[in-house]
Amino acid sequence: MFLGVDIRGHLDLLLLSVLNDAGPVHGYAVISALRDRSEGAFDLPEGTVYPALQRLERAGLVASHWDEAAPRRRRVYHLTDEGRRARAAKKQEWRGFVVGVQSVIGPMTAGGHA
Amino acid sequence: MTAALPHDRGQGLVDTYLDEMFELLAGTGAEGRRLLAETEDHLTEAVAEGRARGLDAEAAERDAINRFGAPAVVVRRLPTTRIVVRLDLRPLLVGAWAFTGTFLTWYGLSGALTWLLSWPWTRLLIATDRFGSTMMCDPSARWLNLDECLGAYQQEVALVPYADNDFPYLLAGGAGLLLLLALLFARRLGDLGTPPWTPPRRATSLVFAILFGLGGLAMTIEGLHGITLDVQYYVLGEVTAGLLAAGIGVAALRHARRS
Repeated sequence: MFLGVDIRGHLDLLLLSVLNDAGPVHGYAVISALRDRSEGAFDLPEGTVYPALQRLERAGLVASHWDEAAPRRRRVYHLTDEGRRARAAKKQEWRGFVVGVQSVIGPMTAGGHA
Repeated sequence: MTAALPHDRGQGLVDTYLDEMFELLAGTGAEGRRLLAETEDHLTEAVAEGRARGLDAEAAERDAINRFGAPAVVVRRLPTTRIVVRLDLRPLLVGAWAFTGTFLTWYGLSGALTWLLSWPWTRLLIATDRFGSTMMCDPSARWLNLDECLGAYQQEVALVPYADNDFPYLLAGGAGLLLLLALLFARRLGDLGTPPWTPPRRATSLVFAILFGLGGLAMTIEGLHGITLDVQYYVLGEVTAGLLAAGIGVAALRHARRS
């Protein structure tokens, strides 16, 4: 477990990835997926995801609409084409970053320690 | 059986949280309304999930709120197209506005009032002339050369505006009143009346306490010092005003401690 890791600098990539994999989903589902897939690793106030989604929408990477058909009206988010391209680029950057860091600190051992 | 709507829950932790967020979102427009709606949806769902895990209502609400983060933290991240003043600067801005208006009103109107009072008061001084040890006017010419004598007396007793004091007191006082009226309307009609924009009572009281306390002390000392001087016309006025100001300062300090 990596409880307490600050992910503010990487939140965009994580949100874009969740939306890419989960398809059109509402904010609560995005947060649940983030928590479940990371096994609770990130120290993130859940409420900050909503402003982040608005910011991504303003950047044209995400689009949203109110889902009036659901029993309770909810905002549903999905990735735009530009968002998909941005996710791929950010993912590439992240891989390069991880490789660079690992080459400095050494590869992971079987026990999870460097 | 229908699910309980948010307003049916009573003033629970979630309602208090939403109220606080609502106040913090003042002035953020559509982005703020959307965040508030999504927050309510999220917390409602999170509470339901907590109850399903076996938590009681209060514990479920507390858990949902703790995980969501403090309202100020969430609101600070909100992107908005409107000019939004930083949360911590809002009460400072309103406080500075109120202080400037009050100061200009006080300084301008007190100067204008003094100017108005100076005319009958100075004539009274000339008529009685019980103060000056130096002869400001030729006694025989006091009423013959009145303008010159008035100027000399006014300058001597530090009444404003004397000969060279052309500060626009009425203009300053009028501008101060306009500022205060504008603030009053802005607070009544707009966001400036909401708690995020309102300076804490404690801070307001402390500003009054410091200004009146120090001003009162300085005036009292100057008044008492005047006793030792030859010309003592201002002793009574300075000491009276100084003690009054110091009293207001102490009252404001006590108010600040109670707030």
